[in-house]
Amino acid sequence: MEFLSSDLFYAVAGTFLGFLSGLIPGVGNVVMLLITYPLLIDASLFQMLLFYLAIISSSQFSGSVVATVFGIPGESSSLPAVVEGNRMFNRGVGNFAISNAALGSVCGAFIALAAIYIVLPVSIDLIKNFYNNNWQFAILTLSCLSIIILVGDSVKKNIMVFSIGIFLALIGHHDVPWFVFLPDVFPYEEYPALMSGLPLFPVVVSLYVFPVLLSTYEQFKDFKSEKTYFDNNPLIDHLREFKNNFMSMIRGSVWGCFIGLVPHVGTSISSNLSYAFERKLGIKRGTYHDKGDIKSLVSAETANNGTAMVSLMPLVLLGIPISTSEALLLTFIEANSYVVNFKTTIENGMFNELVLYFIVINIVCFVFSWPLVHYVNLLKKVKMTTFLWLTGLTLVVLVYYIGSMTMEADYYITTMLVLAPLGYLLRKTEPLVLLIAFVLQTKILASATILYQVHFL
Amino acid sequence: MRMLKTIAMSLMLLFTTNAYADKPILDVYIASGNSGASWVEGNMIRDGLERIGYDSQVIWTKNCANTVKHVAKGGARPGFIFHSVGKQLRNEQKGCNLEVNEDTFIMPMYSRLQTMCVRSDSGFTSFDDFIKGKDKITVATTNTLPGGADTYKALSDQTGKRFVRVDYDGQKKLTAGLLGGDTDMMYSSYRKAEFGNPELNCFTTSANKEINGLPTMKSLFPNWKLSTMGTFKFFRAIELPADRFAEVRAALGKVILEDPKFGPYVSNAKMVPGTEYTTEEALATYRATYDLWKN
Repeated sequence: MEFLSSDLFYAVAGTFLGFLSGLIPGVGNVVMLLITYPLLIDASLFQMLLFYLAIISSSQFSGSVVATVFGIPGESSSLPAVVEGNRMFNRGVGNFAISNAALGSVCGAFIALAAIYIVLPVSIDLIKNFYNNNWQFAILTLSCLSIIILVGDSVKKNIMVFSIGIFLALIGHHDVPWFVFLPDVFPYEEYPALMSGLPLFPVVVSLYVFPVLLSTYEQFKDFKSEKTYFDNNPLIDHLREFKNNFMSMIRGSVWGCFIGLVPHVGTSISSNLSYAFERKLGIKRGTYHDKGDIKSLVSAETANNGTAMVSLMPLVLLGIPISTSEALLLTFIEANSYVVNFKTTIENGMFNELVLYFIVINIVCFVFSWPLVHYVNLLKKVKMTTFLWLTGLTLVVLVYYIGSMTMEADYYITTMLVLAPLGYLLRKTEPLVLLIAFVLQTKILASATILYQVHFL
Repeated sequence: MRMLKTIAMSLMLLFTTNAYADKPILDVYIASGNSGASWVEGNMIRDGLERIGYDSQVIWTKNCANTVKHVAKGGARPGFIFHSVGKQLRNEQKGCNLEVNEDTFIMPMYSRLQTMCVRSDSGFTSFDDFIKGKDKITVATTNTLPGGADTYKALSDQTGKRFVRVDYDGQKKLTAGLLGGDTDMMYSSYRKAEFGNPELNCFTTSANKEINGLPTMKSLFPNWKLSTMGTFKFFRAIELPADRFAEVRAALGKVILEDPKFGPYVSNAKMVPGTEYTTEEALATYRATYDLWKN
C-alpha cells in the first residue's frame, strides 16, 4: 500500500496512463486527467505535477505512433504525423517515421529543458514582479483574449461560449465581490446545493468531454485499417537516419521553445508551424519527399515535445495555466489547498526533482515505446468507438463516485444530466473555451476585484 | 486510490470491530476541504482521541449543508464539528444553520491572534512614520473577514488617512499580494508563516499583552473594535447526548494540551488553547465575537 502513495507510483502511473491516452483518439490529456482524478485526491503538490508531467510526456510518444500507423490525429498537434508519418507508413518505411519521431521527441524535450535552465536565473527576478496583481490581471486578460481569438473559427461564437462558462461559474459565488450573488435569479431556496456553486467534475464531463467524445465518435465510427506495422531494420539504421535529420530536429526545438508559451494553442501551433517551415525548406532545397517527408515529421514532433515542457513553466512559476489540461490540473491542485508558484516549486528545489523524473520518464518512454510499437497492430482488433463508449461510461461512474465521497452524489449526477443537453448543443463549438472560462472565473474575478480596490477606491 | 483505501479500510474495520466494541464513540466531522488547516486539525484530533482510548473516525462532509443532511438521514454517530465564528456566520448566510447554544457548544479549540505586517524592506520604524506622507493605505485582508468596506473605518478616523480594504482569497495569497507590491500592509492571522517570515515585518498583535516584544493593537488603535479580536475556533456537538458533554470536554482538553502532536501545534503557533476558558467564558466570547462580526 505504501507504494500507492509514493512519488514513484505517480511517475509510473502517469507514464502508463499518458501512453494510453495517446493511443486512444478523443481521450487526450484532459479526459485522462479527469478519469484519474481519484488518484490525485490524496496526492502532494509534487506528485500532482509529476503525474501531469508524466502524462503529457508519454502521450506524445504514443500519439505519434497511432497517427503514423492508423492516420488518426489524436490531437491537433499530431496532424504532421498523420500527413507525413502515415504516408511513410503506406510506402513501407513507417518504422523510420516512428523511430525518428521518438528520437526527435526525446531530443526536443531535453533541449527545451536546457533552454529553461539557461533562462531561469534571469527570469526569477522578473517573475517576482508578476506577483503584483496588475501583472496577474494583464496575463489573465491576455490569456483569455488569446483563446477567444486564436481557437476555432468564430470569435463571436467563442465570446458566447466563454460567457456561458463565466455565467455557470458565478452560480453560488458570494465571496468576492458580494454583488455577483444573485438570489433573485437562482433558485437557491429550492436547491440549496447551488449555494456552493456547480461542481467542476460533472460540468467538465457534460460540457467538455461529452462534446469532444461526440465529435470523435462521428469521426471514427466507420474507421478501418488494413495495413500492418513491421520493422526489420537494426537500431543502427534508425540512428543513421536520425543523424541525417539532425538539423531538422534542432529547428523543431527552437520552434518548440518559443511557441510553447502561446496560451492554449502552443503545442498545436509549434508543431504545425515547424512542420510548415520544414516542408517549405525541403521544397526549396528539393529534398521534400511528397510520399512522406521524414525531415518535416521530425521537426514537428520535436517541436511538439519541446513545447510540452516549456508550456508548463507559466504554471510552475506563476500558477497561471496556459493550456486546458493545465487549467484542470490547477483546479485539482487548488482543491487540495496547494499554492503553485516559483516559491513552492523552484525555491524549495521541487522543480529540480521534477526535472530528474522528467528525464527518466522520457528515456523510459523512448526505450519502451520502440519494442511496444510492434503491438500497435493489436489495436486494429478493437473498435475505436468501443474505447469512446468505455471512456464515457467510466466518467459517468466517476461523477457518481466523486460526488458520493462528499455525500453529494445526487447533486453531481443531476448537474451532469441537466448540463448534458447544453453540451450537445455546444458540440460544434470549441468546448475548451467554456472550460477555460469556468476554471479561470474565480481568478479573473478575484484579480479584477483587487485591481478595483487598489486603484479605484 | 481512495477506492482501494476504502476497500482496505472496510476490511480492517471488519477485522477490528471487536476491538472497538467497548470504546466510547466520538467522531470528528470535517465540513471543509480535504487538505486545509481544518483537515489537518481534524485528523490530528482523531488520532489524539484514539490515543486516549476513543473509537473515533473522521467523517468528511465537505460543507455545512452536507453535515445537516448526513445527520437528518439518521444513524450518524456521536461526534463534533469544529470551525471559526466567521465560518459559522458564512454558513448561516448560505442558509445552513447548525445552531450554537448551551446545548450544542462543547468548548473552544483555540483562539488565534491577529497581526499587522508590512514588507521588511519598507523601512518601517513606527506606524506613525509609516503612514506619514501617504493619503491612502491599502490593507491586504482575507475575503472571509466580515466587515466589508468599513472594516478599517476606525483607523481612518483616528489617523486622518484613508485605509482601504483589499480582499484576497486566503492567507497565502494575501501575503503574496503584500510582498508583490499590491498593498501597503496586511492584516492577517499571527502564525509561524507570519512571525517566521524574514520578508515580513509584523509590528503588532491582537493579544492583550505584548507578544514577541510587539505592542498590542489596542494600544495603537484604541477605538478599533477588531483590535482585540482573533480567530475563535470551537467544537459544536453532533448527535452528542447531554450526559456526555463533561466527559467529551475533558477528553478534548487532554488532546489540546497533552497530545504529542496537537499540543505542540497549538503552543508553537502562539495560539491560546481552548482549555484556558471556562465553558461560560467561552460561550460569552463566542457570542461577543458573533455579534461583532454580524454587526
